[in-house]
Amino acid sequence: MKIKRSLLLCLLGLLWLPQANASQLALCHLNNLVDQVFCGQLARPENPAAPAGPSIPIHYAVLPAVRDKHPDEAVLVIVGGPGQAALDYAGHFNRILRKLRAERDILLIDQRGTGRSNPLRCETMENMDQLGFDADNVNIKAETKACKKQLDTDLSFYSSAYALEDFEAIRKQLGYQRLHLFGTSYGTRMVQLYMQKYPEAVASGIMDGVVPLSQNVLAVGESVDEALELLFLQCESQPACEQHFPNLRQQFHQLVQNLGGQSYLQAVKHPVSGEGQAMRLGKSKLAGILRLALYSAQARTLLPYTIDRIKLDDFSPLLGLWGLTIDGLNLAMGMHGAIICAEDWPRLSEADRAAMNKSLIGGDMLAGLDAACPIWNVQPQLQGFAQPFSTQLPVLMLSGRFDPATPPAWAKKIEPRLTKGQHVIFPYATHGVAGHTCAPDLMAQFVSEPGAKLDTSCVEKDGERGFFINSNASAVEEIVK
Amino acid sequence: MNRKVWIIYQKEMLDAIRDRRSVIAALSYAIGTPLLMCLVFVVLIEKFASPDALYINISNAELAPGLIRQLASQDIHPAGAEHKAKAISLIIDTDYPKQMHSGRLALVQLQGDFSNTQLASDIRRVERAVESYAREVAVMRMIARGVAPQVLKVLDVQVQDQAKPEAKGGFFVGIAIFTMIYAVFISGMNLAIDTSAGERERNSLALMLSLPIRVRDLLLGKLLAVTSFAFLGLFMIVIISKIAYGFVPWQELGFNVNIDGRFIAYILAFSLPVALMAALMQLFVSFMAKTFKEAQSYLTLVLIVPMALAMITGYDLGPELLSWLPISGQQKALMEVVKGNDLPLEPLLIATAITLSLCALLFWALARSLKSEKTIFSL
Repeated sequence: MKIKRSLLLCLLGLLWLPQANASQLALCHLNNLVDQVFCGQLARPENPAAPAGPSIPIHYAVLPAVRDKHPDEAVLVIVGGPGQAALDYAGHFNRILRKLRAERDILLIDQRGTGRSNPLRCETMENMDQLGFDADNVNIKAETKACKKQLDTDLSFYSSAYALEDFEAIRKQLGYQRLHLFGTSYGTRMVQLYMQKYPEAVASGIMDGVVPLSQNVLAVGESVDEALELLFLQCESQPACEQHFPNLRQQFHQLVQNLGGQSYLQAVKHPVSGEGQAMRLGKSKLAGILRLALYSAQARTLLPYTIDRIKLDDFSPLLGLWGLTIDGLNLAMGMHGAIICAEDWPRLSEADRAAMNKSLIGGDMLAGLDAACPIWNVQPQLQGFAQPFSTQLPVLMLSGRFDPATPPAWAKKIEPRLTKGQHVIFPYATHGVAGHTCAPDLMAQFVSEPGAKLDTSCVEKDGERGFFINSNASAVEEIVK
Repeated sequence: MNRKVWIIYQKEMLDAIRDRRSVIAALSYAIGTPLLMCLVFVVLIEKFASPDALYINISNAELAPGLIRQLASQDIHPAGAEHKAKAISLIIDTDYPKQMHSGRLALVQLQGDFSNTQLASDIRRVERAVESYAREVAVMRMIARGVAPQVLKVLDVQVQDQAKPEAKGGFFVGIAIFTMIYAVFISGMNLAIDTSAGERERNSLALMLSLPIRVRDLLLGKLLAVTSFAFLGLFMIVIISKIAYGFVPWQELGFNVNIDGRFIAYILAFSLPVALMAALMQLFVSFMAKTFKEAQSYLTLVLIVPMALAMITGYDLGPELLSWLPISGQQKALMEVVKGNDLPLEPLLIATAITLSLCALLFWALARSLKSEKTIFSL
């Protein structure tokens, strides 16, 4: 009888077995992600030198591995901008990192100053993107002052080096031994800093749109010019484009020249609301729209037609492209300024400045920064940026040949210094290739065996797009390879 | 425990183990099912995870380079000399260029035998690729006309699944649990027949009943032997499932099937009353049958009931009532556990109570019938 009773007790006891280890993470829903994932936050001192001072919550999310084959590893996603928030793009990363998530957790962190981690944003600065807005005559100083006053914080604590300590603290809190880093654009700077400072905590690094540490990110001005030149060359190489839009290059330069420093008002229909409004078009706005269109492999196929139509006073395609930018980058401008003004603006040489002034958008950018940075008033933080980056860790670099921000040439600068580095260039891709090519497959291959040579055969499957020759379709004919 | 029951139990187990056929029958289902399912899923997932390059017949491909580019980016290519085409045709109308350029509907025909299940997924793949190209061109046309494409999206629909992350494989686990619980019925069946109808056919039943033991004890000994086999079958299938399912790359399908210690403990505990009931039911039917063969035929029919119950529950088709009934009640409770939800204690307890009541009823009826010569000599 005794045995029976104890058996019964055992069986009853099974009903109250504790649930699998409860953690400090809470279930949550994130943007465009159907599944529930885990969210958490870690309070970090705003100024790491004064741990007792005010703290800010660094929010993060873990997309749990479908099958956690590597519980001591995770893939840390670091987004660009600077000023974008990783958690806002949870759905996007869940989709493109599907193969990686099969066996490893995906870790998203809102870098300090972005998203939910004490965002440094100002309404006024973000609403500059309006149709009637005069991009050529903006009072940057006043805007920046107002924003700075509203934020009321020392922006010096929001540079990459401080954010890196947050990342490392979260890695420790979650108990991951090593991270596979996946950075895009500015995020690749964080990847390099991480590899340099905590190599033992890094399993591998993927950089999509590489900004080498020694590369001043403000050189994007020249990148835009190069991407435009590539566009003109590509149009010339496609007979239909060449035939419909001969002299596209001259036409474009003429257009910019004609605009000069003036801006024109034009009665148009707002591309979203459909209401009649006045669009103010000047060189800055035109360049800004074209620049953003170059970021998209699809939108750039409309550019020859767009430029051609402006000549005929038809602003519709330009307006449509502008419409794409409305929900655009969603940057936390305070954090953006904190980083650019601390890490890039102070290291501009005279030659850099001259090159910027020569480029289509660089001059405006430089003037803006020269006005804003003294007001943001952050400590220059150039440590680690001077010497070229090198590492023994496995690195995968991804570039798009048509990238108007971080061209393949930038990645090539550090390629020789990586003992286990691979650089894949997608011939028809733009910025952030993971979003529009087979790069996610390569990344999954890479992370599963970081040192091994990749099978890059899928790169060729992404062929060349034809340029639109009217408002309906691209040319129908063999595209010359 | 009563010593006489123990002796009967030992005798029945010895009989059963001597009869290799019962042993193999008891265990073949338990071992074979998980292995077979593992094999099927490994092959299926392999096929699903890396869709091969698809070669199809494309007529007038030269008229639609943009579309062909899009298809190629998704690994769909026109067949050539090197690659034979699947029986899928994409026919681009000769007016395609003209229509495309004027912004009118351009005709594209997608042909295939839709009833051919081998082609169905490939046809859908081509259809999706063609539609995604059409969407892309539509967006560009909107932009070219000065309208932001988000105007067409209208709603920002955020779909939020409230299931726990671990609930993802729920559907498959439901099926797996069904195969496990069913093992309880399969594994003891042969022994149940052998120890009742078989015993009678060998003319040893009357002999046993003439021994100085109570019918109740005799029955209990036989019942425990059959239950042991049923439970052994369950134990084997659970352990082999744990090992075999570990080899299936479930993660490629976006979920995991994890048979952990907690689940094993739960299924063994919850299924014990079910094993008892299964054994009793099988003994009851076998005693009622006149011959061994007849018992086999009846039991095959009777087994449809638990199978149907477990299957309906596994596919989650049945009414709410099922969570209170034997078999389906235990199964539902296990499925909740797997999904990371709280154990539905009340329905489980009621289902268990009903199971045990049924056991008592069957035991009483059997013991009563074994006192009748009708049953003993199958008159």
